[in-house]
Amino acid sequence: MREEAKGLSKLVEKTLPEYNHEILRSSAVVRDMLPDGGGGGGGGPPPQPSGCNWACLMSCVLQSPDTLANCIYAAYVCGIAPGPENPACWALVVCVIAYGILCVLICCYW
Amino acid sequence: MLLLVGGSLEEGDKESPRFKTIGVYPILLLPLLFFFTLFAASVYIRHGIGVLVFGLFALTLSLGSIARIEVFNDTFVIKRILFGTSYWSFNEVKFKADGRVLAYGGMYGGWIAPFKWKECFEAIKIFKSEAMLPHKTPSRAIPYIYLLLPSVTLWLIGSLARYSGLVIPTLSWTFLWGAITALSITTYTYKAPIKFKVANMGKGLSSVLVGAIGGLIVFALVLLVSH
Repeated sequence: MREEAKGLSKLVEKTLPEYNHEILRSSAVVRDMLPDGGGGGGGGPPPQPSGCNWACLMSCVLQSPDTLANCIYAAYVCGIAPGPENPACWALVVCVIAYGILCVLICCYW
Repeated sequence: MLLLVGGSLEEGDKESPRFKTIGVYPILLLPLLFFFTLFAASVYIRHGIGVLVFGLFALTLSLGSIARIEVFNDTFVIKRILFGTSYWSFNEVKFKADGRVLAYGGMYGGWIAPFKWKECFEAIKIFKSEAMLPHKTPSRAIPYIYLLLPSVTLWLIGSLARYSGLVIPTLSWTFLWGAITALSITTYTYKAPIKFKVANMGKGLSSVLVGAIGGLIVFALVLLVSH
């Protein structure tokens, strides 16, 4: 009886870390699936620094066909002669910055 | 005659380049970044065609950002996969960032970073003193007109249509974008005071090809975003 108990104890000792790891992993999956991103307390991803709507940010650049066409045109002409003396490259810089600022304003602060 | 080939001095004939290397255009990182953002946006909103078109344009610009530099006796040649081969005289070259960047051709050329920048700097410095061709400074004002043509023309057409209460169908508007872009780029490249060709075509056909590709890209992307 004592021998059997010893064997069982060794088996538990050996398999417990694996069980613990599995339990931790499954609880992490469940925690990630929760809408608030955590189980109240220490775990979970860190909160976002701003209230940006990421879906809005990603689709924002595809909202205005004419503005986008101007930027595409500038990008292509910049590609033909890629240097700072080509005005199309500066037009593209304006495009990227303007799009960036506008989309952040609309999707993060508006 | 002693010639610089691949960074070393050796004998060579007059036909073959005295020095050759590969370079990249650092400024093209900006449009690449821009189009990879659009690509990511398309992925995010699960726009299959968007992924394809924006990805293709980003690939086009990626290929266009690499060039082969060949230095000959009295000229140097920039060979690009998609934007053709252009020929420049040595007095159109300036070195920036201690020779790491080769600025050539003003607003028709570009700023390229050669991989073997030290050897490239030395080669051009040596040959520049040997052959200085007279060079007419190109007009800086005229190209702006071609560059502004699509935006201004379409803005005028759009304003006129709104004023007269006319509704332009999306497809027609998209076609206008493509056609005016193609025309503008073709004129810009054809009128540029540079020697330029794509494959074995003349300057006229090369300009039409570069313009047509630009027009097609703009047409495809505007159509994609409008629907």
